[in-house]
Amino acid sequence: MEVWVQQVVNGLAIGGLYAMIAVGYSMVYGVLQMINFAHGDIFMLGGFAGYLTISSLNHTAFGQDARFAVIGLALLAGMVAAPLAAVIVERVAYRPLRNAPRLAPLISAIGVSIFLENLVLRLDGGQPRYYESIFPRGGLVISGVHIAWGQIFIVSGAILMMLFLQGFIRFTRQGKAIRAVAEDQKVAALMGVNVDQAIVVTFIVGAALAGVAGVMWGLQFNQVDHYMGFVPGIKAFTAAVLGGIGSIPGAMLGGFFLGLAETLAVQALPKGFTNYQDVVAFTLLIVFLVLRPGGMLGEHLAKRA
Amino acid sequence: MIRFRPVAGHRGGWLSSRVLWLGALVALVLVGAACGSKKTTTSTPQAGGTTAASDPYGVIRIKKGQAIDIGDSAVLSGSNAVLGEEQQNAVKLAVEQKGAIKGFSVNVVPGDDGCGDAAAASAVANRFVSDASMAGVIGTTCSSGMLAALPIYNKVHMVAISPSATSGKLPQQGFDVFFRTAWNDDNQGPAQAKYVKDVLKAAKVAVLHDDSAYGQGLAAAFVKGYQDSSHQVVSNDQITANAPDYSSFIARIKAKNPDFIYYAGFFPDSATLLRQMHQAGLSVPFLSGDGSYDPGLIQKAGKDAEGAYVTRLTGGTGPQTKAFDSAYQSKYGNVNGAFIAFAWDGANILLNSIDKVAQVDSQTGDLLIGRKALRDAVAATSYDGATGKISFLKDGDREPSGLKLEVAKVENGKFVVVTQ
Repeated sequence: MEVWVQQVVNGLAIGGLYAMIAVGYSMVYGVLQMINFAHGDIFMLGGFAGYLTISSLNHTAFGQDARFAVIGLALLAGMVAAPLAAVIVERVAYRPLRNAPRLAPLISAIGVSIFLENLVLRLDGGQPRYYESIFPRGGLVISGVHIAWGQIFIVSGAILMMLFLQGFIRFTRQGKAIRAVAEDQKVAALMGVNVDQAIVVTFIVGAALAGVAGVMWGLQFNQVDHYMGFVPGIKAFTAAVLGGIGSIPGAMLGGFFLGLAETLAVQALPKGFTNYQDVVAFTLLIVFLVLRPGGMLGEHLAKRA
Repeated sequence: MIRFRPVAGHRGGWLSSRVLWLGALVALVLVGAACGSKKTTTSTPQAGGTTAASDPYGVIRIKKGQAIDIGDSAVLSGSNAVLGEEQQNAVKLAVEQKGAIKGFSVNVVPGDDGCGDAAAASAVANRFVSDASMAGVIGTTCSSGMLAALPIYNKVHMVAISPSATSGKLPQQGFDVFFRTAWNDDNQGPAQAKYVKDVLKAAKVAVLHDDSAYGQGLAAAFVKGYQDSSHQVVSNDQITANAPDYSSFIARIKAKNPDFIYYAGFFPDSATLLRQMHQAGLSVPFLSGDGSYDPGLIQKAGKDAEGAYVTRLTGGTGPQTKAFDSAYQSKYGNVNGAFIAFAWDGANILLNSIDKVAQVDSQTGDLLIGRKALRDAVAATSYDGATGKISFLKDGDREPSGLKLEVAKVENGKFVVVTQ
């Protein structure tokens, strides 16, 4: 029993990261009906921004407690660098194709993804970079179940950011504009909504979450490399679809669900098949889509299609 | 859901730009073809006044004034990139020390084979075999890559000497171009098992491997040597290589109460396992094989690497070993990676064999290297290297006499050898 609880803890931690990345996929899809396949690489850039911050600031010089400031700065760096890249990508690779056939921006996104991966490969070399272990080690032990500080940090961070995001989308003027553009771009424009601006803000918000997720990823798993965004990107996309693409709570739900599915699969799979965890996760995706194409919270999509 | 929305007004512009693109594409193809044809002219075996010209596998002709190419198929990007970089350094060092061969300089051509990535290893192999001045290859780094690349090298009879692909499957493939300076895992696994039983005294081991050709083979060899009436393998699971999160695997094996963790795979994943073992409060000794015997393990795992054991097979203690160590150290810093010396030995064997069989064409001044002659020269190697005396068995595997298991333990951020 204890081991299953432990697996749930592990699943929630990785799921929180998927959830934060998934939001970016979902929001962009909601507004542009486009799958932004470069989103995983925006996440990667966030991870690198955090790495550069931590490695250039010598935290030991300012005493033990300075590391919390360094962690905060790293998160901030991810939150700034990733949106910056996303804005440039949107301007250069997506906006010119807004009226093109649906497949064009998709292909463009794949191109951007390959470009970003190779850019970092060229600039930084193929060697992975290791985050310094500045995050507090250890954690809580509750009747044999270990919950690392890092895991608590990820899950609470993810939930907190989702709440902020929900508030932003619900209650601010800019959030209202994004919802209007998602509903109907043309009508929104006629009503005086600045469509371009709303779309850019959508990219910024999604990328900010991905950037933070990139830094958290580095803090938790301590490695960043040019290719780190690919698999999490695909998984976050899966999570977004599972949850109902276009829906922000759906993306979060999907992320946690996928994380749990992966870790529980490792526990449940018979000896000799433990590395089939991804097979389980993606089979789940297919089954889910066949039975419920809109995902968990996907009424939004059903209406549109 | 997918709707096409061509913009009517832009048709003409779109069309003309398409013509432009097409033009650019044609130009590119032409340039590519021109470049390609320049290379292929030298590839056909031509009759000359020398015996090398009559080699049954064909002759590599290096034009006068050009360099002999040596391929270095190594993992140069991704998590395992350190291993490939060390290999490349060692090969370059050997080439530098050797200098010119019969007046022809030697050029190292790198190729990133991505370790376990069969597609990347084949792509590198295809590039190398189409290089008409390439005499032979050092690599691949990993066993999975070698399995994919060997049929390609075999087709053109290009010798491939791996310094680190240790899988027991490789010699069984029946390709006569395959050689390796590393020893077969079937030697390492049982030796590790004996050490874990006799010295570390573990009775309940949890085995993990990364499901690569290397990890699978080594783990199987370990389990075979370890299991008996008083030594139990409590779990034997495969993990997904290069994944960031193994916490779920660790929770799974922790529930089996092992008193020892054995892992067959590469250092980045070892480091991740060690970090997350700590996080999960699983504090039992950990041992891994030569794929993890790299300073990268300590770099990545930090404090969590303390106390971990790594092993490799060694044979060299002679003057060659010391000479190599100091030469490598003075050029590239520390020489702690498990396979560096094996790569240097491999490169030297290849270079010496080329030196032995290459002939200068008296009429044209070109260098001729018979492919079969080169292969046979490598096969007949008897060489005293940095890793001990090297000769090859019929199947290309290294003659296993004189090897012993070296066990190192991480202490204060360094590998400390604990066996003698």
